[in-house]
Amino acid sequence: MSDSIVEVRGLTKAYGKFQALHEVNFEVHRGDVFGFLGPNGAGKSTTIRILLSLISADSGTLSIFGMPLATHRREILQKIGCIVEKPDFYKYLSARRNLEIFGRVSGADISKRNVDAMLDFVGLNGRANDKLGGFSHGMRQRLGLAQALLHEPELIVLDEPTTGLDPQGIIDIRKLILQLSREQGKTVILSSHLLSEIEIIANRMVIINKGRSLAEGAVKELLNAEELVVTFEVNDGAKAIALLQQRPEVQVRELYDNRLTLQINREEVPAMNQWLQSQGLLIYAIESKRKLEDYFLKLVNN
Amino acid sequence: MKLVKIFLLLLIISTTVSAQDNGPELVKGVYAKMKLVTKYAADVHIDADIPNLKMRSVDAKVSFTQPDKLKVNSRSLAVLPKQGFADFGKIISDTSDFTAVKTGDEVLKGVKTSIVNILPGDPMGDLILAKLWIDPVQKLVMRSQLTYRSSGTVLIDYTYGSQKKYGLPDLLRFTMDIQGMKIPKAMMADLHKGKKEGVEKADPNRPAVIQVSFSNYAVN
Amino acid sequence: MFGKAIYNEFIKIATKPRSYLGLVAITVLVGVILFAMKIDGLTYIGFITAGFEQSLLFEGDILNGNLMGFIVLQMLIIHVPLLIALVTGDLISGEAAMGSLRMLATRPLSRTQILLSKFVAGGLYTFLILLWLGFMALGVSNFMFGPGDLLVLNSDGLVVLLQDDVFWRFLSGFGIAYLSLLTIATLSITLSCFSDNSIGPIVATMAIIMLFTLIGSLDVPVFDAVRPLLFTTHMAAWRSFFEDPVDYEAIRNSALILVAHIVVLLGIATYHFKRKDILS
Repeated sequence: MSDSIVEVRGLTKAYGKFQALHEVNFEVHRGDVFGFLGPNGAGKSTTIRILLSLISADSGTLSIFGMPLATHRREILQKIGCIVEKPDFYKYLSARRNLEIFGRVSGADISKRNVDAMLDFVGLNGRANDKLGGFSHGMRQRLGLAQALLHEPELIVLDEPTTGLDPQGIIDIRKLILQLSREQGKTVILSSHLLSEIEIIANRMVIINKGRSLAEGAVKELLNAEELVVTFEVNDGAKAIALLQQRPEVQVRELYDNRLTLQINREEVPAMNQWLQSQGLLIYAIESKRKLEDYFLKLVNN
Repeated sequence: MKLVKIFLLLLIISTTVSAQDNGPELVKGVYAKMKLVTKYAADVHIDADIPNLKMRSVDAKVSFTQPDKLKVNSRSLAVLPKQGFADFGKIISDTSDFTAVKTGDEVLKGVKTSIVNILPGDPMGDLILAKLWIDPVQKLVMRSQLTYRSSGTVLIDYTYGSQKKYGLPDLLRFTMDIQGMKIPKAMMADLHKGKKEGVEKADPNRPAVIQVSFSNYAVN
Repeated sequence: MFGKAIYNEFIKIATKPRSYLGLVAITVLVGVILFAMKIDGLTYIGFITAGFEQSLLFEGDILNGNLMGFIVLQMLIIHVPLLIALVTGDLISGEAAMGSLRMLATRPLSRTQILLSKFVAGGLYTFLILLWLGFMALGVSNFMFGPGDLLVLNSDGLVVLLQDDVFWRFLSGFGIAYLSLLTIATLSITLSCFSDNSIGPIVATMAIIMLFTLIGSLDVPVFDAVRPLLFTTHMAAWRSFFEDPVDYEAIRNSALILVAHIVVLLGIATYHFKRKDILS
């Protein structure tokens, strides 16, 4: 029996002539902290909005909890808590009132006690009766989490939850997500444009760029520490390239301004260093990144 | 023959003179009856049929004190003629203030009445002419036609009953011409433009008629 | 859950400061009118009865609470649509602008339920505004001026309605006035579905009212076919209850047209809102 909570196949969406998503595929398993990674404008928010039925896909299938979203929207959304972009509440109402309003239509029976407990959980019980107009970004983010968790959903979708937070805020969110996953068995979909964020929290991920899914799988496998992209800063880059033509097994990524980038395994780095020196080259510096990290950074910078 | 002609001429002259002399006497006779009443109170039922004014019949109480103080107590809005109702007694009270001339006779509702024209003494006053149809036997006004400078002519028909002896009518019927009255256009709300065809409307040029029925008189 | 959604929407309306603008405005406006009438009402009445006063005497208190109530309604009912649209035009687009629509639409509520809950709450708000107007127009007027027969100036002349015959007319008139204001509310909510900002639907609603009112008042044959179908043509239908006799057929016709507008507008709103991509 499939342990998939979310199955996305062939998801496509266009805004006029602009193709926002082109046959995106991925799967989220029960208990995953699933990273949804991509640069800005990759299609992450579009995908998440489709998942949450804020926008409709042009084609493709989307199944959540084993049910098609198109026909079981209500049952599905009852089990989902989410923050899409930044949480926007009713500024003229207090934190407590806002939670009561959203809790009332969450599909669960939310009492005042539940609301108070949740405000305490996110550290806002001291400001419960204050209007949101005076809340900082971090406080709103915490309140956003509170409304996402209030009805004890099985699946939590967080779109860039650490954006705009201070370092302590970021750490708090991370701890909370891990707690939800490990202690409460919740499934979390977390979208971000920061690989470091995904790497720390997520166990599985998909990389998306220009509306296409590029890589999907376990984070550890995708970010294989063994396969590296190593940059040697040498005194004569052209000579280095000419020398490496004698070694076709070595994958040369690029040469730029005497900086020679190779894709090699971790164990091969010392040997390559020695070989280049033995060929008369001077090595000024060695930098290494994991292959996927490098790949992702190129996507972001492009 | 000559004597016969002179006799006939004298007869005609004397009849004419007598006719002229009856005018003030007739009016005095009517007023004497009216003076028997220093005040009265009565229940009235007012029915008004006035162009451009729609209203249901109204029940009210009137009280009158000589010479012309009329008070109307009504829970509802009542419309009464401005002239010819409270002021009638005053018109005929001072015989030195007008000239009364009998101009003929007419039978009204089976009663032979004498027609008396009253010319007010004040040529600049509002009342221009009053024409009375008087029952000379009962000394009752059966009909009056009052012409005012400000409001035109009011025709009043009198019907008497239990209070005949005081000259107090059971029914007064006022007919007046209020043509030329316009509704202020700016105040109108144009409901239902293009109203239903074929709906018969009362003639807007018809005269206004107000009927006042009196009952439960308390006299003096 | 639909009931809870309606309750939520009403709380949002009740706690938004803007919602009280209408109530305050009505209070001030009615206060001004009643103050003016208390000081100089007889001059105003004299203008109406001037045509008759040469020959007729009006006995009784014309300047009474019922007449004041009627005058207040007559003057203010054309301004109330703006006060309604200020709130109802903001119901969808205001949330879109604020970003909270995104949060609301991820609840297990259908789009239709979201829209209808706002419609019901907007309808309740409209009712309350009208109720307040009625209280100020009739209640306060009768308190200040006392009861009495109502003298109404219609296009075919003055009508005197007995005071015992007036209250049911006001109630019925309010009923049909509510339908016309509900049409305005529905129009603004529909326009709100097409916008992501607060002001647009409100201005658009007023613009449509002005345009239709203009078409209705231009007595040219080219608009003859369209005029009876415009909702603005029927917004004065409440006054028909103050005719004698009451033209029930005309009132029924107006009510049907207004209800048809509400149904069609709601249909358009539902169709669009269900398919709308919520990008805000």
